[in-house]
Amino acid sequence: MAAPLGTSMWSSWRLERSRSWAGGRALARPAVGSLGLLAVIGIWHVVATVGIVRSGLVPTPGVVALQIVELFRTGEAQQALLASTTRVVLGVIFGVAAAIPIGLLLGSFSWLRAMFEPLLNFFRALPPIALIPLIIVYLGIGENARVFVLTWSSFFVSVIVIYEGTVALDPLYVRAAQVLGANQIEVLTKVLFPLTVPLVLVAVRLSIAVSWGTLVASELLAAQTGIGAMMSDAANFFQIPKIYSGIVLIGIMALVMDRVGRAAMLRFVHWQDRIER
Amino acid sequence: MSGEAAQRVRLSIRGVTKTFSGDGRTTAVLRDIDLEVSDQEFVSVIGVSGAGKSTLLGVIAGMTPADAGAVYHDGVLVTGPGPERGVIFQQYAVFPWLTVRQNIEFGLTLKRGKRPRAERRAIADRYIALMGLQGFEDAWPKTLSGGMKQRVAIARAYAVDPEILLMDEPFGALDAQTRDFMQEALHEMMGRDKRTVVFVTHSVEEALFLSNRVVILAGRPARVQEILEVPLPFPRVRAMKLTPEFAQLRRRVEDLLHHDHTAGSGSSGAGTHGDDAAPLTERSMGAA
Repeated sequence: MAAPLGTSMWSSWRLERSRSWAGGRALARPAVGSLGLLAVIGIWHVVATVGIVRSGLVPTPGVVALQIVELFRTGEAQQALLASTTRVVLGVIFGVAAAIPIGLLLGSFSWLRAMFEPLLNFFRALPPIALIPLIIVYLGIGENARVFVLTWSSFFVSVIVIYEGTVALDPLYVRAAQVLGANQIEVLTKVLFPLTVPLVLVAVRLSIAVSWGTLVASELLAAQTGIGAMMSDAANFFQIPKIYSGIVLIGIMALVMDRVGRAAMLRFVHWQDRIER
Repeated sequence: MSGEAAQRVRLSIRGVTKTFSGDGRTTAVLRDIDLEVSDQEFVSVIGVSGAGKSTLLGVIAGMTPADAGAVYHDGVLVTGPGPERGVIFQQYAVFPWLTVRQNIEFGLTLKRGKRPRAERRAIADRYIALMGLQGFEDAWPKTLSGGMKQRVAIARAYAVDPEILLMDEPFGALDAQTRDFMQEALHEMMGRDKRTVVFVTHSVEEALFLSNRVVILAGRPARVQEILEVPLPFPRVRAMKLTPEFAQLRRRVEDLLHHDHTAGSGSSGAGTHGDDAAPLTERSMGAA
């Protein structure tokens, strides 16, 4: 298809480029993703070897990779991953589960929102690390306390997503259902529920990211197992490659879980009319 | 009009008044609307933008409570929305999380209109065929054009067997050609499966083409300014739009609307006059 009249040479060239780009997009995406990764690894290697930082303080990517392999060989990585992933999953489940009814209520009633929104934002802004002394007092230093920290961060992130989303729901669908004969319960289950599924999935994805970010803080509560614990131990013994390994493992887990979340969204929310890039 | 014996009154709208208050201002939208719609009559409600046509439809449907007056459906007071008064919205309101078939069967899955699966399928199939949606039964709404979505909405409303159909500018968001096509499709549908219809539009041409009677809503707050019989024969044909009789009727309605617009409702601004001008330009370009 020829470029429309009046298009300059520059913009028609860009049109051509974007068309061919769109064609190869499916192939290009993962390739571009790995390009970014390779670039980071490259820079890392350079920083480690050139001596910008005092030698020995920055292990090369190669050393870290070997360390990770070793951790898997001894089973230490699997143990730590299992413990941490369990905590994250529990934190996300509890946080999102609590956020759904509260978010739906807040989204549906503006007076409730007016009452609680400042409070929500106040608590949301508190960093979990700052709360740890209090949590130790109220919940001790057991697994409950650790999962609580993760639940806390998941909850606040999710509740905002859900209530803002609920506020923005189009009442048109509710009216359409009523006009077809739906009663109150049917409106809730057959209209509102499907409309909130995308919101919940977004909340879950955000909670996963936030929880992995808060994991180390939660494991400061005297955790014996988990990646954060592994990293704290390594810090005590100045085992820097192990610390890096922990960071990489956390990043990978967060990425993997996010991908799972995205796949879930594609499966359950494919019907959404999205603005295509 | 066909010389049938006096038709029974299905919809009785008496003294309906509606005022909206918001942002510290109260706007009286409807005042003392009186209207009766007979069985299987197709009545269009026409008026300039903002005249309150959609509000009136909302009151008739039971979605919007009136401040004064009442609506009676077969003598029974209307207190809320229900499948006996189907509504077609301008924005389609087709459920995006359901396929075409699932949308059409929606009303039949509810407690109120529940049908066994085989029957549901048969009813849906019938309207899919009538609305020309074959092949799209399992399509997702996001893949459909506006015209198709509206056809799904119409099939969905029909599936619950409403006695009355209320349509709120159903073709307003469509382009001119699709609009013409949909008018004919709807008219044909009406021919096969007659219902009592109240049809809101601001296209004079559309109103005259489809209706037995045209109700002109005018003024601020809106009142029934005039009710016109449309003496054109049934079934209607597109070519009728080009006849002198049609032109005459059209001029008459447009004059009434124009008069209302310039006579003191001016607060809506210059934009609304453009609506009246548009149909004229369409015609002069030779609607074929």
